[in-house]
Amino acid sequence: MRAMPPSPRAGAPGPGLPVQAGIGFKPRHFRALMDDPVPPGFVEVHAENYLGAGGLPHRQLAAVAARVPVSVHGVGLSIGGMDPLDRGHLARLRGLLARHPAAQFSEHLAWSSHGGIHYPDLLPLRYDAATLARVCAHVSQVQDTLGRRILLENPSTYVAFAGGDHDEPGFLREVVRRTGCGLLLDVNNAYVSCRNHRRDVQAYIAALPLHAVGEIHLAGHAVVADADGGELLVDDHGAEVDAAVWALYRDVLAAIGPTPTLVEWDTDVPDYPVLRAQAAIADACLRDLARANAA
Amino acid sequence: MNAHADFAAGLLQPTLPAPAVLHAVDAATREHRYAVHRNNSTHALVGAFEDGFPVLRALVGADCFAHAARACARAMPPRTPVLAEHVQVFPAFIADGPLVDALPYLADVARLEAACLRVFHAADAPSPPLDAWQRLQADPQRLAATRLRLHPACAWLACTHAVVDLWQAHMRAESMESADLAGIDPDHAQDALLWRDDDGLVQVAALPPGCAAALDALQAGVALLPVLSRLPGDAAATLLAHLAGDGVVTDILVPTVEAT
Repeated sequence: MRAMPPSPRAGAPGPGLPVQAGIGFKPRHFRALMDDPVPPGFVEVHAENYLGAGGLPHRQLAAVAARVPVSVHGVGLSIGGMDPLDRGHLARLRGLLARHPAAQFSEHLAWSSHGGIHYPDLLPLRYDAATLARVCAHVSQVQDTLGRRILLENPSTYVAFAGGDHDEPGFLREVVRRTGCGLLLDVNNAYVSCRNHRRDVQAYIAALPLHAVGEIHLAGHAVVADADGGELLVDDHGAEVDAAVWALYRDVLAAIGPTPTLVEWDTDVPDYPVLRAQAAIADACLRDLARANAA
Repeated sequence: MNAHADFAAGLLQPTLPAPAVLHAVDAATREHRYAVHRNNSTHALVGAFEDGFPVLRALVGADCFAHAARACARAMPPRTPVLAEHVQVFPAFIADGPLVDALPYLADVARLEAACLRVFHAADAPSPPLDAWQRLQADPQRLAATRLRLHPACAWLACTHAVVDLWQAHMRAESMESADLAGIDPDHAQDALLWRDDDGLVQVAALPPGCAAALDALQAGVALLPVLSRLPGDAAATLLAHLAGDGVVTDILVPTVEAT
C-alpha cells in the first residue's frame, strides 16, 4: 500500500497480546485446541457468552486461558448508543475480566441498543459532533470502569446516516486522540464497507489512526446481490478470508509492523483444523514481514 | 423520534419501511441494505432460540419453530445483550401462543429447556463430602431433622405432561428429528429434576408428582422428615436417592441432637 506511510507504534498496548495469529474460540473446538501441539498465539471470546455465573463455559475458558492468552471482545455495550451505557452490563464485564485475566478488551464503534431494547447486531452511526462527544464519553467511562485501555473496532456498514460531518477514519482518529483508546483494525470490515460505499479502501486505511492499532481482525464475508444488480458484501464471518483481504492485510502489516492478528469464523463454523490453517496463513505473513524487516 | 429510534423501529418489524434518516441512495437500495440489518437481528434471535430449545424445535418442525421464534422476537424483543438470558422469555410466549392448542405439552417442554439453560450457566458450588450421607443414614434421628441447602446448579419443575420422557427420547436419539416417541404418553404427569454432572452437562430425571413441591419445601428450609413424610413411600425413596446421589445438594445442615 504505497499511500500508507509507516507509522511509529506509540500508544500500542503493553503486555497485551503476543504478536502472533489467534483464533476466535468456539466451545466445540475446546478439545482440539487443548490437544493442539502448536496452539494459536491467542484466542478471543465474545464477552457476552461468558456472563453466566458458572459452569462449563467458565471452566473451559479458565483451561484455555491457562494455555494461551485470551482477548475479550464485547459485542453488547452499545458504545455508540444514545442511551446511557448499561452500568449493570459494564459491571458484569468488569467482573468477567477480574475472573479471567484478559490480555486485552475490545468493543465496537457501533450501537446495538435503544430505549432499553437490545438488537443482536452492530448498527451504524451518524458521524457528527454529537455522536463524537457521546462515543468519547462512553469509551472513557468504559476505560475508567474496567481500569484499562480498550481497543475500538472499525465497523462493517451497508447504509450510512445522512447528515454526518466526519468520515469514518477521521471520526476514529478523534476518538483515539480524545480518549487514548486503541484501534482494533478489522481489515475485512474496512474492505466490506469501502466496497459497499464505493470508497478507496487503501485511502480509508491510510487515514485511520494507524499508530494506535493494537490488534487486527480478519474474517470471511459473503457476496450477495445489491438492489442494482451489483455486489453487496456482507460481513458474515462465514468463510475463509478473501484473497483481496489477505493482500490488504499484508499491506497493512508492511505499513504498521507486526501486529497481533485474529481470524474470526462465527457462521457455519468449520472443524478446528480449517480455522487453525487460516491463522497459520496470518502467522506466515507475520514471519515474512519480520524476515523482510531483519534483512 | 431521534435517529436511533427511527433506525431501530423497523429492525424486528418487516412491515415498516427502511428509516428515512439514511443517506439518500435510491429507495430500493435503501430497503435492500437496511434488510441486511433486519436479517442480522432476526437471524441472531432465531438462532438463539434454536440453540436453546432443540427438543421443542424437533417436536414442531424447523419451519414452525422459526415462525414462532420470529414472532417472539417481535413481541418480546431483548431487554439484555446476553442472548442466553433473553431466551428465558420463550416459555411464556409459547404458553400464550397457538402452538399449545394443538400440543398442550409444548409449554412444559419449553419450561424444561429454559431450566436446562439456567442450570448450565448457574453458579458453581461444592458438594457435601462423599461420606456425609452414609454417616447420616446410620443415624435416622439426625437424618429426619436435617435441613439441606440445594445446589445453585439444580432446578425442579412440576409438569402436567411427560416432558422428561419426551426430552430423554430426544437426547437418546441419533438426531433430534429421529427421536422415537412410541410408548410415551404425553398426558402422564411428571416432575423434573435437573442438575449438572461432573462434566458440567445438564442431567434430567423424572420424579413422581409431588417431588417438586417437596424440593420447594426443602429449599425453604423445612427439615427432611416433614418433607418426605408428606410423599408416598416410593416417591420419598426416589427423591432421597437423588438428594444423596447427584449434584442436587451443596450443603447438609445436620442438627445437634440432644440425647433424650
